[in-house]
Amino acid sequence: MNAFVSGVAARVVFVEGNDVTYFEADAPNDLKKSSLSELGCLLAGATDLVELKRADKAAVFQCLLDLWNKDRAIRMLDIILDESSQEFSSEAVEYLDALLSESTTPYVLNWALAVPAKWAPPTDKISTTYSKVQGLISTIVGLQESIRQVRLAWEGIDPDLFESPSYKAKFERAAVVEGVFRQFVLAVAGQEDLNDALLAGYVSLRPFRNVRSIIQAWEAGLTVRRSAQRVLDRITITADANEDEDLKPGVREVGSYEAYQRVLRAKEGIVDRLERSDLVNARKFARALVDEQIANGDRSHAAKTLCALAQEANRLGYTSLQLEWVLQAVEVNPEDGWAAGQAADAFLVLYRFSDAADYYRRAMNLGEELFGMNGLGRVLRASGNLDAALATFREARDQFSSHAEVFHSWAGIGEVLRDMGDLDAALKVYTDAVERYREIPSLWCGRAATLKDLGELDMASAAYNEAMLKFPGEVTAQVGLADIEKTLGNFDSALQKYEKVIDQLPSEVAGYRGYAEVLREKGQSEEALVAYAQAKKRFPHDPGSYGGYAETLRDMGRLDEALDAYNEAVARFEFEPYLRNGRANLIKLTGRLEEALQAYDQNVHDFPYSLVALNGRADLLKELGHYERALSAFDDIAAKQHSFKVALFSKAAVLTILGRFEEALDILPETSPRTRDEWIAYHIRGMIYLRSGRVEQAIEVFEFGLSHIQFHKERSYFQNALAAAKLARSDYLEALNLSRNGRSTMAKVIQLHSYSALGERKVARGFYDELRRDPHSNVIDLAEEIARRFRLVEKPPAHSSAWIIQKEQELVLALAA
Amino acid sequence: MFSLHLSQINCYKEWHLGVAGAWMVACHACNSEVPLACRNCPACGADNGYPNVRLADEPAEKEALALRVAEAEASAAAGGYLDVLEALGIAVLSSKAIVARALAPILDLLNNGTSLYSTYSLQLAAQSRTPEDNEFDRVRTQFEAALAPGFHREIRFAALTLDDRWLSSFGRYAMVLRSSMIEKRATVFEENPYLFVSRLRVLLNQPLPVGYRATWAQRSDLAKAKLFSKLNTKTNSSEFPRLLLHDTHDHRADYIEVHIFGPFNRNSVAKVVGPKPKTREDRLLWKTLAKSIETLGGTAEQIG
Repeated sequence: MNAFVSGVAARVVFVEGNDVTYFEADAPNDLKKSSLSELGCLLAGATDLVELKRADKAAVFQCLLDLWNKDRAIRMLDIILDESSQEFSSEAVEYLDALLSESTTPYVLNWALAVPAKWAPPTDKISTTYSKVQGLISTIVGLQESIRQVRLAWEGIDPDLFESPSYKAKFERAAVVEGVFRQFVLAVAGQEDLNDALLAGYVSLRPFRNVRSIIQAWEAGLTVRRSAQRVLDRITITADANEDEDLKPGVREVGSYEAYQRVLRAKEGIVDRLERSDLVNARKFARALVDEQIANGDRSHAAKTLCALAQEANRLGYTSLQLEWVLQAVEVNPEDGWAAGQAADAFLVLYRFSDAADYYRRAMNLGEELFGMNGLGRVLRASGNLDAALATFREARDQFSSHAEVFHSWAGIGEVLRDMGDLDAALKVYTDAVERYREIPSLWCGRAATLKDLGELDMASAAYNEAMLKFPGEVTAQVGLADIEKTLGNFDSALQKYEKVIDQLPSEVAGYRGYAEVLREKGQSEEALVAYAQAKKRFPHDPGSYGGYAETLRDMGRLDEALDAYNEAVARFEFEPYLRNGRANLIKLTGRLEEALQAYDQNVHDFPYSLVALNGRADLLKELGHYERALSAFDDIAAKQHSFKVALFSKAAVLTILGRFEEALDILPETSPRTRDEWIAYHIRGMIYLRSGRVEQAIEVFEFGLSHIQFHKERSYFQNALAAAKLARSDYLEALNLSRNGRSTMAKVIQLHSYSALGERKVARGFYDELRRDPHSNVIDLAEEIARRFRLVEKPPAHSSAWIIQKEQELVLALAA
Repeated sequence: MFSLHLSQINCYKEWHLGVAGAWMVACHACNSEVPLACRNCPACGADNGYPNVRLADEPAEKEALALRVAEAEASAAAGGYLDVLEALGIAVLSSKAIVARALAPILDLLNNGTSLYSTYSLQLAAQSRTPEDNEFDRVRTQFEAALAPGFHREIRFAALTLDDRWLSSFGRYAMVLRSSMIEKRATVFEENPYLFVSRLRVLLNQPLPVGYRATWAQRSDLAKAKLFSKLNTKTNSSEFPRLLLHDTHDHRADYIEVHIFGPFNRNSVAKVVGPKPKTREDRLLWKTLAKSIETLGGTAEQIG
C-alpha cells in the first residue's frame, strides 16, 4: 500500500486504488475511511510529508513515530528559545530531553544550525538532569556566530544560479534536512573539515541541477577556505562511480519454462485468493511475485502480470484493487502504453473521468494512439459530453481508417448517436460499419439494438437472428433476442433464450438477470426471488440483481424485507439513481408519503440529470393531487428529453384528469400496444374515452387490455379501470367481481362503493375504516363521500353521485400511469 | 434498466452549464477583458473583485440557484414544512466558517513569527510547494482546480458551521474564523467536491454545473436548496447544526464547503476548538496556543 505520513499532522493516509483511509498517531488501530477529494484536508499544513510506497503497516507506523518525535522535538526547542514563552520552558526542556535520540538529535541540530536564534536562553538554568538538552542548547548558543556566517554566505549566492525562488527554497530545505547547513557551520567553527562538508553537500544535493556552481558560490562566501578544486575532483569521481553502480543490472535469472510455469502457478494462487475474497493475501502474493520479476530485471513481464491480475480483480468486482494493480503496472513499466490504457479503463469504471482521460492520453503518447483516442471518446460519452465524444470517435475513425481495430471507433459513433436519440443516423453508421467490417459481431448487434430502439422489433429480431447465424457463439445477439421477446411479453420464449445464454456464458450476468426479470414480469415471484438471489451471489457488483431482488420482495408484499434489500443495495451502489428511486417508490407504497416526497427530493438533488429521479417526484405530486405542479414537473422532464415516454404518458394521464383530452390524445401513440409503455398509453386512451362519456368504447379498450396484456403489474391498471367503468354504469356486481380480493387502494375504493351500493353495509364499513387511514387525502375525501352517500355515516353527502364517479376515475389515473 | 442514461446527463449539462461562456468579464474601469482567474485587470490594473465571488455572482449561477430554491419551496409547501425551511434559512445567516486542522498547523498559524524553526520550516515548505509533484497533490489539485478554475492556489477551504463543530476527519482541532475577515472574499459550495463530481459524473476539466455555489451573503439560499429534502414538519431548529454539517467521521460526512480567496492569518481566527490532547507534548502546545489566541483577542475551548 502507498502511505503518506506526517509527524506535523500526526497522521497516516493510505491510498489504495480508489480507496483512501487514515489513522491518527495516537490511535493506529482505528482506521477510518475518507475520499480522494479530502486528501488535501487530511494532511493540511503538513510540512514534513513522506510518501512510502508498498510499505507494510509496521514500517509506516515506525515512520510516523519518527516524524512525530522530530516535529515535537523542534517545537519543544522553539518554546525553549522563545523569550516570551519562558513560563513553559521547564516543561519543554523535560519533554525535549526525552525526545532526543540517535534519530531525533541530528534532525534537530540540522534545523537549529541553519538559522540564527533570536535569543539565547541561559544554559545554567537548565537542570543537569536534562543533560541532553543542556548539551544541545550549549552547542546552539556556542555556534551562533558560525551560523550567522553560513547564513550570510547562503543569502549572498547569486539568485540567477537557481531556476526560480521556489527551486531555491527546495534546495535550501534539502540542504537543511540533509545536514549540509550543519556541516558548513561546524566547518566554519573549525570542528569539521570543510572539504568533508563540501563533499557531503555535493553528494546529498546531487539530484539538484547546478549543484556544483551553487555550492562553489556558497563556499566562496565563507571565511574559511580550503582547496575546493581538489575536493570537487574527488566528487566527480565518486559521482561517476555511483552512476555506474546505478546502471548495473540486477541478478538476472535466465528465462526458462520452469520460471514461466512458476509465474503461472503464482498467478493462479492469487486469483484463487481473490475468488475467496482474501484480498490481504492476494495483495501480498502479488507483491512477492512482481518483486521477484523486477529483481530478475523483467519489468515488462512484471507490468503484464499486474495488468492480468487487475483484469481478474475487475472480473470479480474489486474495482479499487484493479486500479491499484494497474497503477503499479504503470509505475513498474512507465513506457508500457498498454498498461497506461488499462489504468485509464480502471479509472473509467470508477467514474474518475479526469484521471481516465489523462491515462488515455498517456497511452496515446506511448504508441497506443487509436486505443487512447477511443478511450477519450468513451470518457466524454460516460460523462455526458456527447457532442465532444462524437467528434472524438469520428476523428479516430478518419485518422486511423486503415487500422485493424478502427471498428471500435465506428461502434463508438453509433453508440453516441443512440445516446443522443438520433437513431436514424445511428442505424446508418452501423449499417455502413457492418458492410465494411463484416466479421465484427459487435457491429451487427449494435445495428440490431438500434432497430430495437427505433421500435422496429421485428426487424431487430431478424437482425439479431442474422448475427447469430453468422456468429453462432455470439452471446450479445442471444441476449438481444431474449430482451426483445421479454419486451413483447413472449415470456416463455424469452426464458428459453436466457437459459441458453446462461449455459453458454455462465460468467455473464445478462443471462441470469434477464431470466429473473422475466419470472418477475410473469408474476412468478417465488421463482424470481430465487433467481435474483443467485444472480446477487454470483455477480456481487451488478446493481440490477440487487434492485430486482428488492422489487420482487415488494411485488410479494414483503415490504419490510424489500426495504432492507433496497437499503443494502443503495449502500453498495451509492451512485445508482434507479436503486434510490426504487427505494423511494417503496416508501410511497407503504403510505409514508411525506417521507417518500423527501426521498424523491433527495434523489433529484443527488442525481439532477436522472429522469427517473425527476419522474418519481412528479409522479408523487400527481398522486397527492397537486396536478398543476405535477404537470409542470412532467413538462420539465419532457423539455430535457422528449423521448422519455414514461413521463410523456404520465403527463397525458394528468391532462386526462384535468379534462384536457385533446392535448392528451396528441401525446398518445395510435399503434396497437405491444410494449409495456404502449400498454400504459393504451390504458390512458381508454380512460379518456371513459372521462369523456364514451363508456362503451372505454370498456372495449379495458376488456381488450385485460385479456391481452402480458405484463403482470400493468394488468391491474386495466382491471381497476374496467371496474370504474362498470361503476359508472351502476354495474356494482361486475365491478365487485373485478376488484374482489384486490388489496390496492383503488381496489378497496371500488369494493367500498360496490358493497355500499349493494347494501352490504358491514363489509362496506370495513373498507371505509381502512380507507380513512390511507395516506392520500384525496382517497380519504372520496371514501368519506361514498360513506355519506350510502349512509354508512350519519352525515349528509357534500357532493353529487357524479362527483364520486369522477373522483374514482381520477384516482384510477392518479394511482396508475 | 440500470445503465446510465447518457443523454439525460448530456441534456442536463446543456441546461446547467451556462457558466461555460463566462471565462472572461469586462473590466469595470476600462472594459478590457479580465480572465476569470484574475482579480486585477491585466490592462489597467483595476480591482475587479475576487474571482470566486465573481463566479458565484454570475447571472447563470444566481438564476440556477434561484430555481433550486423555488423547487425547494414548492416541495416544502407540498410537504407542509415551508415555515421550517424559512427558519433554516434564517439560522444559516449566522453560520460561520470553520477550518479543521491538526494541532501543530494551527499552532504554526497562531505563532507565525514567534516560533523560530517551525516558522522557518513552514516558509520553506510554502515557498517550495509545487503541487503536481506527486500523486497526492495531483489528485487533490484536480478537485481544487475544478472548483476554482485558474485560481485554486489562492483558495483556502473551510466548512459552514452553526455551533462551532467541525469535520473531525479533516483534523482533530479547528479554527472558527471571524466572518468580518472573510465575508467579502468567501463563497460557498454545495458539498464535498468528490461526492459532487461522482454524483453528477462531472469531468473535472470542464466547468461545473451551475446553481451549486453562492456568495457568502447568499449562503442561506444554498443551504435551503441543498437541505430542504432533509426537513419535514417535525424538524426542530436544534437539528439545524447537524443538518448543515453532518460529521460521520468518514468520507460520507456532509457539509457546505467555504472557499476563501487568499490567505488568512492569526487575526482572522476568533476561536480554536478541540479535545484535550493525549500526549504531554501536545498538552504543552495547547497551552502555548491558548496563550497566543488570547493575546489576539480570541478564545481557545476544549470540547469533546
